[in-house]
Amino acid sequence: MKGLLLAAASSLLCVVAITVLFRVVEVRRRAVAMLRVFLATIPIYLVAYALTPADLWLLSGWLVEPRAFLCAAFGLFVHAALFFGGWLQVYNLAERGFSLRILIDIDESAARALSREEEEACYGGGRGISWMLDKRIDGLVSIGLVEEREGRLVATDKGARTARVFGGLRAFLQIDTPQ
Amino acid sequence: MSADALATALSAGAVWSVAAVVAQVVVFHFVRVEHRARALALLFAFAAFATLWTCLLLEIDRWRAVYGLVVVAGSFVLYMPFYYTVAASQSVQLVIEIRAAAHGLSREQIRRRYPVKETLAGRLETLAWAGYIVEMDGRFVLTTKGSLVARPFRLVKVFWRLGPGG
Repeated sequence: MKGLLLAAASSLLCVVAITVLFRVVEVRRRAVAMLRVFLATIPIYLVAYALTPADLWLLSGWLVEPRAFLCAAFGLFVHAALFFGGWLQVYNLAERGFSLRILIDIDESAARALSREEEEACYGGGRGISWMLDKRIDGLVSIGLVEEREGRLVATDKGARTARVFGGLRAFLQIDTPQ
Repeated sequence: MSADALATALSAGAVWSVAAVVAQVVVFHFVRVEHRARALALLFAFAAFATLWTCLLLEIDRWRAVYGLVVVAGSFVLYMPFYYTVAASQSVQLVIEIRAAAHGLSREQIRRRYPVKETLAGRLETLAWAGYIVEMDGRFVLTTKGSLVARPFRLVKVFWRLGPGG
């Protein structure tokens, strides 16, 4: 139980630190910044685990684990799951979710209602639907998977490796990629 | 209480989670699955039941059995984003297509391959089918379910000072 409680506290600390960071500093690569904050909370979790008693001053005897190492590792796993499966996914959805953006556009519109044509023009807080694809292409360029040469987008070495790995996985799992 | 109860419960959760992932990879490789997300969720649900069953069989106390279930749940939330990146990420698909083209692709060629207006129309249809929006007099409005999703995320965007997103 100690591992679970400290994992929950570390996760809370992590999201508070991320919020402060995003509100105080202009962060360009937010997902990387979030990952760094998460990594910084790991030693804090481990130190807190090492320095606190097994019952955390409040747990009943039956909730105290006799194997401290295992309990600590379990807590670390939960902390990682809360971050990668929780906070990072909330960020990804808020920052990249296509369906979510449509719902927010409708909610933000004056009449709280949009036709398809209006949504084409309003998508992305007024940027228009074409911006959606440009944003993804620019994202690939900014992380070095693709580069623009004489008006054409070509895969970098890193992009080619990524394409090989993910293309292989998609083919193995029978997920079609249109060519 | 046995000192090994926790190790047994955690191992059961880990082993059944790995089994769920292996089963998914094997099934998806050999069978064309129509409802992939549902199939994956079912496999992990099976892993959760199997973990519980293993713990009961080995006479692990309920509390430690819950730990085993937490391992399965944690594995599920860690694996799903990875699977969706492989299966559904448009950026991943773009990189694959750009690499496959002998001389790369121009932005115009990409726009032709991904007609965004048709994509939007399809997504509006999907959102309506899933009950997030309804069409009234030619315009789409949020349902209660749609509002319950949109409003908290609007707050997140404000709170974290995110861009328009999407």
